[in-house]
Formats: sequence, structure tokens, C-alpha cells
Amino acid sequence: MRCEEVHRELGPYLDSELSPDLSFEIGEHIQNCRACSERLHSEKKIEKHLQSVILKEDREDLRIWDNAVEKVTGVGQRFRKLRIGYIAAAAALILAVGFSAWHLALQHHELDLARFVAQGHEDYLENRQKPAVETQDPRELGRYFSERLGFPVGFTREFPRGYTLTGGRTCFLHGVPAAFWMARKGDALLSIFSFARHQLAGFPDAAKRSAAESGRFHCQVGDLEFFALVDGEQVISAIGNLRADELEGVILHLAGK
Amino acid sequence: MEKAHGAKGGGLSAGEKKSFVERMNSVRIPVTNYCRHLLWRRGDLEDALQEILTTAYEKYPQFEPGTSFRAWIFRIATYTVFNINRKYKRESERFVPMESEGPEVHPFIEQELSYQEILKDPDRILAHVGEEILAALSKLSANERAVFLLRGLADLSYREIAGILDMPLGSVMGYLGRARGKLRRSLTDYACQHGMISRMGLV
Repeated sequence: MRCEEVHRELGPYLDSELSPDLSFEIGEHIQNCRACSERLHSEKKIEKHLQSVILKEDREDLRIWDNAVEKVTGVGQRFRKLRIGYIAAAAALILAVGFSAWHLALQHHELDLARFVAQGHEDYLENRQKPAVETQDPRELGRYFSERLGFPVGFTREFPRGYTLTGGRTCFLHGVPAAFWMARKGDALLSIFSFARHQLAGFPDAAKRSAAESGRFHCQVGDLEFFALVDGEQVISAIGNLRADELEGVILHLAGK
Repeated sequence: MEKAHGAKGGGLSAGEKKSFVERMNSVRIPVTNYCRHLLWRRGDLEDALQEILTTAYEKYPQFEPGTSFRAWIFRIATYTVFNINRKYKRESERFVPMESEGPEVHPFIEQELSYQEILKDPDRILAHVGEEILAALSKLSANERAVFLLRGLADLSYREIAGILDMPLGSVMGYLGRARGKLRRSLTDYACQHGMISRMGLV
């Protein structure tokens, strides 16, 4: 085997992708050829350097990744990699969040669903959840959701006058796949989450309320009003800075009730 | 790529959820890097990662134990990023040469004496280059870049890469050779421009 032939196959040889015979032949040549042996050594070094340049541990990218894992699974990631410098700030944050959650749980312990819907709405308010599809057409968005979620998602009617649909995206509510409809009335943002009816079992307290109140129930979460409706095979839950009767009215309207 | 069949991920048991999180932890660095280098726009990274994890979670019940998890997750990542990049297809075509354009670059540019000079003492040049490599990477065609990253970052075999990109094994080898050749040429250009070597050899 000539040196030029060895050079041509060095890439696949380094990747262990050659046939055993060819690989053996090249290995034998390299053992007996100082120039090819040095070339192999240099190519390895260059390839390793190229990989080290493209493989970085970017803290911001990993934060985005951990947030996304947490969002889809409901299992926290970020606490695993905390650096000492952040521990004090994190501890304060945890205490504050813990206190808020405890306070919220005391007030609304019966409505687990409302709590998760409120978290999603807060993400929307703070621009952490953006629409994957921007449209004012609820039918178009309904088709997008139905295709992705695998169950029929949609409303019987258009949004009532004064309300504007801005778009939506799929998301997870405590691990339950859901359609997130983003709408507004004037300056007030309205978040509507619909998910498959059988998934209501994932929110035991809300399931109890639904059974006791014929599939319609509401509560307050802080300053926000929450309302949920079991409509055929889907559950429609909504939250926003609206009056309770307004919120209930718009959901019943959309569901054609 | 097969289409999502509903949202089975929502029904993962606690054990499955734990295994999903552990597997995802094991690939977080290569997958985030892969997406960052493959996306046309850095601003799309957050949406891309969210989409990849959502799809992976939904499809996780379909993942077959005993098969390569890395190949499985990189297939989802590739499909997602290519879909996002499709939005900018026209724009990308303005900046990136078509795959078929120009003469094929020899895998190791061995005809160039200057590259052979680099091979004699690569450390001398490698100590200075970083951004130049990233710039050269961004100029590769979509397939060259994907193949190079799937090999270099994901450590996948040629056969696995061929499966992910739905192309013959020979094409994978061709794209990889061209990508490596172009990246090595960027080293040569840098060394020549900075007077570390002349086009005909060391200064």
C-alpha cells in the first residue's frame, strides 16, 4: 500500500469505519512508515482540537435545556448544578418561592390544576412562553393542536367581540400535554389550556371538584380568576385578569354552551 | 421521521420519567452544542430545545431499549432544527454554496504544501485558532455541517448518521471528507494570513 492511499483513508481509519482487512493493512503500513505515523498523529491532534472548539459547556444553553426538561417532565434539574456563588441567592429564592407556593397551596389546595395553569399564564405574561403559531383563526390553531396532541382540540364558536386570539403552542401542565391558547381582551392577557378529558385524573383535586360541580368550576389564584369546563372529550381551563363572570362567559361561549 | 402519535409521554410512569431525565442529562452538552452550530439563527435555540424535548418526551414510550439512545435523540434534534431552518431557506441559499457547486475539496488537502507544513507542527497553529474554525464551520453546507457535527459531537457511526440524514453511506463519507477538508483549509488560510507559514511552506 502506498502512502497516498493511506492518507486518503486516514479519516475513516481514525473513525474505525474501515473493513477489518483494510484497517489491518493501513495499521501495518503505519507501523513501518514513520512519515505516515507522524501524519496520523497530527491528524488526530487536529481533529481533537476541532472537536474541542465546537464542544463547549455554555451555561446559558444548559440553563435553557434544564428549564425545558423541567417544563416537560415536571422534574427539577437546575438544583443539581448550582455553584457555590449562587447558593445564597438560590436559597433566598427557594424560600420566597416556597413561601409563595405554601401560601398559594393554603388558599387553593383544592385546585391543583389552577396552580399549574397559573404558572403557565405567568410564563406567558413574562414572555417566557411565546406562541409557536401566530394566528387569529381558532380553527387553524385547533387543527395544529389536534395534529400534534392526537385528540380533537378546538372551539365551537369564534372568540366573542372584544377578545383577540394571538396564537398558541403546545405545552405540558404538570406533565400533561396541553394546547395553550393565547388571547387578550384589551390589555388583559387571557390564557386558555385545553387537554384530553382522561388526563383530568392527573389533577386529583380538580377532578373531584369537576365531579361535584358537573364539570364546571372556578376559583381565584391571587388576583386572577380561574375557570374550567369539561367539554366533550376535552377540558378547557382558563385564567386571566378578568371578572369571574366574564371569564366563565367567554369559555362557555367558545364551547357553544 | 415518523410522526408523533398523540402525546403518550404525558402518561409516563415515575420510573420512566426518571429514566427519561437521566438519559437527557447524559446528552445535554452535545445536543445543545449540536443545535447551536446547526441552527441558522442563535435566537431560535430556546424554541428548538423546547421542541426537541417535547417531541422526545412524547415519543419516549416508543424508544426501544437496547438501541442507541444517542442516535434516537440526535434524529429528533436534526429533524427539529432542519424544520426551523427551513423558514430561512432562501436566505441560507444566498450565503451557503450549493452542495454541487465547485470542485470537490480533497479530504486532506494534501496537495497543498502549506497544509503539510501544518501537519509537521500542528500545535504551533492550533494554539491560535478558535473563532476561525467556528466561522469556517458556519460556511459549510447544511449536510456537510450536520454530518461533521454528528460525527464529532455525537460520536455516531457513519451508518447511524446515514440513517438520521436519510442518505447513502457513501454520501456520509463524501460530506464528512469535504467538511474536514474545508475546516483544515481554514487552518491553512489563518496560518498564511498571519505569516506563520507561506503558501509553499514554513516562514
